[in-house]
Amino acid sequence: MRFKSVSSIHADPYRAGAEIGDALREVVPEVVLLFASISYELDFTDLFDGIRDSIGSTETLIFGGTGDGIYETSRVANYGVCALGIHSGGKLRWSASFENGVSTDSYAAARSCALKTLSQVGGQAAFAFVLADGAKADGSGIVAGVNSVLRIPYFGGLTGDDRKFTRSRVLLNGRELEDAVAILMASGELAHSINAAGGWTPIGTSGNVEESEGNSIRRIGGMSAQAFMKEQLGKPLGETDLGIIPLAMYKSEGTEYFSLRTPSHLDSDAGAITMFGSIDQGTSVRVCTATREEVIRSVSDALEGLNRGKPGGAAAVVISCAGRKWMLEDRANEEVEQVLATLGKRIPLVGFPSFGEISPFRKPDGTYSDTFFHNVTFVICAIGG
Amino acid sequence: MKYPLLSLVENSPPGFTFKPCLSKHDVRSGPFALYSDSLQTAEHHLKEAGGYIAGIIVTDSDEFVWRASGFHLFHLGVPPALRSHLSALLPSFLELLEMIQSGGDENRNISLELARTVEDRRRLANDFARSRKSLLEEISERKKMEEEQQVLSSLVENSNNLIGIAAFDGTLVYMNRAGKKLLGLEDVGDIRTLNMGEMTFPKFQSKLKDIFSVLLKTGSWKGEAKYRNYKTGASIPVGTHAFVIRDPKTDQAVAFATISRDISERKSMEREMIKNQKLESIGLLAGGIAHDFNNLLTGIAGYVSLAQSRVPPEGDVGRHLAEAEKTTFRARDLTHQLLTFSRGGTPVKKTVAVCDLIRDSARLALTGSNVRCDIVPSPELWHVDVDEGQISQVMNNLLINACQAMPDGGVIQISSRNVTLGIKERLPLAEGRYVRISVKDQGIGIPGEHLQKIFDPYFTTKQKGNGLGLATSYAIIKKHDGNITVESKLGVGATFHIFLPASRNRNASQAGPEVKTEKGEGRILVMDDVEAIRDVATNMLESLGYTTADARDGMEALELYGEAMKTGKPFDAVIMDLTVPGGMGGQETVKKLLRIDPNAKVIVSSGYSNDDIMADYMAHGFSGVVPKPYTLNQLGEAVGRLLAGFP
Repeated sequence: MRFKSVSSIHADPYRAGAEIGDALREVVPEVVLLFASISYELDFTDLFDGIRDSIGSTETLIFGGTGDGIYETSRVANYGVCALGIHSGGKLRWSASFENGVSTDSYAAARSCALKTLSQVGGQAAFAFVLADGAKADGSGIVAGVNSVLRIPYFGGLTGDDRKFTRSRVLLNGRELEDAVAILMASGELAHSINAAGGWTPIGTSGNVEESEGNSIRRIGGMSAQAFMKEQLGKPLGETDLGIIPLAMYKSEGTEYFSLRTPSHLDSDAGAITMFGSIDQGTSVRVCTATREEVIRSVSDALEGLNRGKPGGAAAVVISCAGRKWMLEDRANEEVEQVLATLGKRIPLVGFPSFGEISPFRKPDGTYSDTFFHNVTFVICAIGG
Repeated sequence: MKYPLLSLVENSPPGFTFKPCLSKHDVRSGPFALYSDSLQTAEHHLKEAGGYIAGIIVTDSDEFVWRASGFHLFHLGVPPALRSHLSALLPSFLELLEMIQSGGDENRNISLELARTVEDRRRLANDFARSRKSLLEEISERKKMEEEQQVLSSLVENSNNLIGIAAFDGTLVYMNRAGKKLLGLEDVGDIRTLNMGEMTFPKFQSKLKDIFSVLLKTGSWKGEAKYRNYKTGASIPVGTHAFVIRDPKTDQAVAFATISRDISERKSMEREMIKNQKLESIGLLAGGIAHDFNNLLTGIAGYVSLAQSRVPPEGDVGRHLAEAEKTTFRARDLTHQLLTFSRGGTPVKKTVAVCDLIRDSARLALTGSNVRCDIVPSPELWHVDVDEGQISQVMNNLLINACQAMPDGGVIQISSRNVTLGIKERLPLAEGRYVRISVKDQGIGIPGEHLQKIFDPYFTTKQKGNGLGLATSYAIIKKHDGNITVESKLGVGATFHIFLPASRNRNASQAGPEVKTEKGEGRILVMDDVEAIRDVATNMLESLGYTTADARDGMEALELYGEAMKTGKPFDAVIMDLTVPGGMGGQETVKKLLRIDPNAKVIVSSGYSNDDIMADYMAHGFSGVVPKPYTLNQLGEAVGRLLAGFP
């Protein structure tokens, strides 16, 4: 297999695409994983055109989405586009499809998309990558929908914008999709490993979610959701906390394992909080905190679990929550730097700061947990090798 | 070639490639040069290629032209002579253009970053303002809560009730000032070293466990309990309300609080009320017995009197009958005391000499005791208007108390003198003349804290005392418009001072003009519910020469009287009993009788000699009064006076 990553910060999307295409042409990519900042929003057509014109093929499957910036081997930037060209030499059968309506029913859309994509690869998927519109989807619903179909570990994320939480795009073969979920699957043999880590620690007292609807959490522990978080944090939630301060969501009573959910909107009238993923009524939650050091250190934890001390991989896809980037500020680069330091400085690496992450956990015995929806989590997929 | 040189016309300069149609790739991949026959043609083609282009449009021109044609688009007009040099000339321009374009990209990115930074700052500023506002609100709220807490703390700390908090193992957590005082904990440094169990009696411990379980179950408990004073060990009955304190976050019971009130006084009052009710019942019983006994005495006294009238007074029989009469009247005095105790009573006053009163009372009270009585003579004492019986009762009470204060004997000194009180004297008495009687003993004295209470009903320090003697004495003196005070020194003795208003009369009451117990004539009607009294009264009257008739009650009396009037044999006088159980008594009967005969002469007779009617008989329609029991002389005198026209 051949992999190559490239990035461009050209303002002209066509030129950026052309630069991407030019660089990837040499690997003759079957699939291009493409991640771009939302600043290219008006001209994704030009971006696609640039890539295709430069690659010189319309057969290349282009799959990606927008995020709050790009991660690539050579740069971590707030604005630009990055891509990973993958060539399997025909050993993999690739397929990608999408489904609209994640804002209405994320579960149904994801399930339908997964069924469609799976059928296109002959019902045998070895690899799956899921992206959904972060401004509209319920991440929990997306994962639940895909879990209802796929039995393999898979990863992915929610696309995003530049911290405005208003719009994002899933990019698929020249189309920019809104309110959609898209899945890329491959059948065949594709060695890859996935892991996730957060670095967050629950603090304070837990509260039960007493009232919630979809992504909107209204009451926790006898008070409004915002009041609960204010009580735990000692200060009211603010704009700067959106996407950053998570609630640990305990799957069942008495368990230590939790997923994280961060707020995306605050309803100041009702004291409700809209999260990036839904939390069912009756779920026990606790506010979490972390230092920048703990957040960065969690990358090592994720890498450690990739192949239990022998990470390996010929390429890497990093989906790290945009909230982590906002929290790390000038140290945001250090996540990718750690990956490169572990996997190799020249390893083709792409990724984006997302509005939600999808990943299982790699267990000590090398098997995988179920796939969960996360927030403020670092997800890495090492491919090939 | 790094920078494409394109041409829209076939006849292009050397190095240029003819492109009848331009693709995005041609013009968007980087800076380019485009040869066209005209600027407008070139601009038209480039328009379709979209934005972000950087290029140089080359046209033929008579003279060298260089000007901007768009954002990163320039127009180069070259004279035909320079056409062949364009391919060599243009790359450097295009390289420059690329640098400009890259710079533009950079600037764009910088602008975006700047906008983002401004947005981040705005977000931070907004959040800071919100947090600051929230913090200030919280501080204000906290201050307000602290103030409220201080007020509440002050209320709790200064409450007169015990307010305390203890853990469920009994360890004290908090006790307010009143609680510490009540439980004798004022000198304890840290009350948290103590346990509630130390403030209760062993007998109460098991009840305490029951109370805790009720508390945990229901959250509160109300009832009476007994604390133990930590310092003195004294028992303190309290009314208590205990309730559980819960952690507001977990709702777990963490401690309990109690608000308790010392109910010693209430308990004491309850006991006194029960005692009072008992005494009232006893009083009623005593009054009833005394009344009946008095009626019996009336019969006895009457027959003794009748017997006396038939034998010589100097003989043995006469003397024995005289003693029997005295004893009867002593018994009467006793019944009067009982009646006074049970009913109280308006004093029936007459002017008496104080020294006589003192002498008689002392003799009566101290007979048989080991206490000597010294009566200090007081010449020229003013007389007083008193109810002899009641004042005797007062003197009796004081003298008996003085005796009891000297169980091993001693001397009681009774002195009296005239005093004139003005506004300077701090006594609750009107200005005027008084006689002060002082009774001084050499007993153990009265403790200072009791001096204020000794005249209170039921206050007694004696094991067997009922606490009524001094209270009754006080009430009697007050009814005489006088006052009674006490002074005492422990181990020395006590002195009681009685102040009685001096009489305007210079002479003691004398009996009215003496009417000898002569035989009389006339018709007398006797009304009494007791047959023995009717018998003895009619016998006594008949022995005096009167004719008599008797009636059981007022109704019968009215019938007989009316009939007598009709038959022309009217009664000259009527003697009526005041109290007729189950029938018409004297008070009602006299009113009806006077309607029949406004000139009717009616004598009221009763064992309640200090009854209001007896004391003021004329105001109630009666013409005379004869208290029971009466002698032959007393009855004859009363009837004789009435028929003679004397009150």
